[in-house]
Amino acid sequence: MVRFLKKMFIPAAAFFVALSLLFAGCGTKADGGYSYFVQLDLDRSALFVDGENLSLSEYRELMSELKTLVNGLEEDFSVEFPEGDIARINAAEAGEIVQVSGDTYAALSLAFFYEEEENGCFSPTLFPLTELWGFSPANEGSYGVSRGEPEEGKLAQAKSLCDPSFFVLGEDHTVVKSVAGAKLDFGGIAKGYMCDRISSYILQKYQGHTVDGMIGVMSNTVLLGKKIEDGASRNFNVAIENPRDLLSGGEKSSALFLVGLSDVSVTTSSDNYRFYVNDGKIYPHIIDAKTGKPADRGIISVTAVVPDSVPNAGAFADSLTTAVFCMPLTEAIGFLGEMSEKYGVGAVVITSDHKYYAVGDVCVMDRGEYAAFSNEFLGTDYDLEDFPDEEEVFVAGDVASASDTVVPCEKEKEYIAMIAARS
Amino acid sequence: MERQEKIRAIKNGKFFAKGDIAVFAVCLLLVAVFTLFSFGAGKESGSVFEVYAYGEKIATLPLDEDAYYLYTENGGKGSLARVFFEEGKSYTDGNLILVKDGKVCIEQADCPDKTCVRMGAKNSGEIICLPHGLTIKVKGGGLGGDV
Repeated sequence: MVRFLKKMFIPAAAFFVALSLLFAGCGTKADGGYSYFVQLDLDRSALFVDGENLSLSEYRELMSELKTLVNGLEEDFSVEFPEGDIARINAAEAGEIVQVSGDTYAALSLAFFYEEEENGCFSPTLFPLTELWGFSPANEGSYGVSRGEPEEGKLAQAKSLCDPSFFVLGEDHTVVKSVAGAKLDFGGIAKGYMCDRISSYILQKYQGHTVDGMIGVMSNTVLLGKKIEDGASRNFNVAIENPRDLLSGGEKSSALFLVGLSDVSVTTSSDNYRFYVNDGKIYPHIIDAKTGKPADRGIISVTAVVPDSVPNAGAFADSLTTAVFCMPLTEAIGFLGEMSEKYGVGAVVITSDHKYYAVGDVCVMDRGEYAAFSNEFLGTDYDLEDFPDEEEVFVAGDVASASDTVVPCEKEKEYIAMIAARS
Repeated sequence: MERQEKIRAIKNGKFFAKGDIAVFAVCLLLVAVFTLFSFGAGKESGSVFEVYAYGEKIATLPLDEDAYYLYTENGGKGSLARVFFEEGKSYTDGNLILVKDGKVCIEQADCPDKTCVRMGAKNSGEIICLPHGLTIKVKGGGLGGDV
């Protein structure tokens, strides 16, 4: 037996080395073993200053400055970065004064403001529940594992720790908790806040110049000015990722399009990242503060468009999509209507009966409509017969007759069965 | 064990011991996994390809029209021109890009490593020539917005 084990040691070791090589390359390792998660997406060809792309050296310099900025914010905001602000607040005892950075303080103040503004549907204080449901970064790699719901007692216990009043923001960037177990999580606001900081950094750096471009931090995008293409400029068109692309072969594809955008922040929250399926139901990573459970309102994707004239538009858009995800459909539509009047917000909500609802100041097109639009205005040459109505992924729903009871359609059931079979 | 004894023991041993089979099984499995990762998931073939010089898009060209293009690079700036290929002529000042049967490849290059040439003809994914700062990205035939 010992001989056998000895013999097996080398192949086994080789196997694990190979496996670790396979998974290396995901994230960049910082000192101390922390792996940066947030990716900044800013192509040189997508950024224009006074109508021109930056030179290679200018672009590299800008990107290295932005990388420092984004990594610094991630260190502040991550629940995992040792010595980071949020990690220290979460580990703090009741009454302990925690000194945080100006960014953490500003983001936390914003988060509490949005919590009130969004009727408590968004909250930065739900981390105990996120941990309980297995969606905290500590569970990375096993988010998708099918599992039962936690016991009622544990759920009630975790929920009792989630309350904004347990956190007091003091003078000089200090935070004090009144309950030791209360924990923060910036998952619903961090990337939007980063977008805001990046865009203001760029605008400040090139003050006095016209800046056009697209900046992306994962599912958050800032669209500055106009899209410049072949010397001409026009408004941007944004494709909403199809959260059910698995049904059409699994290639990333676009289901709907937002047309004619300029100077806005756009964010999408959807249920096809960090989720699992159990007993025919999808459990997304977005926790409903009201129930303490993963959001279950029949909403599968929310995209919000916030004009950049609204302060912190990126952070606001990020928190909005999270909040709307947890609202009953009619409440979501009503709330977005209010946000549209107050802030000029536009939004698209996709439901599990594969309908979509557009609210506020947005022009939404399905695939066929966008192909026709693109042929007419963008010089493309799509064959419109390739986009028949019956093959549209999502169909327009009537806002006036929307109901809180969303019955999943057959396609949706097929999708859930596919996920269940896969895990 | 003496050296001679060891040699005898190895000579008398079987060609395939259980452990050896396990080694081969692991190797095969790894080959399969890598193959799946690199070639799997039947990618949709694209209809156009984009040419980037040092991260900057300099052209978007069709895949359905057979043609030769010459990419040249000078001090961090790249340019592209359509060329008419002459049999036997060797291009020494850049990458010769060939579009044929809906696929794009780099036919000739004067970069030191020629990795780009060895990447072959593609109708999805990317071809990269690091020394010349050239990236060719094949874009899907599907609909797409700016973001």
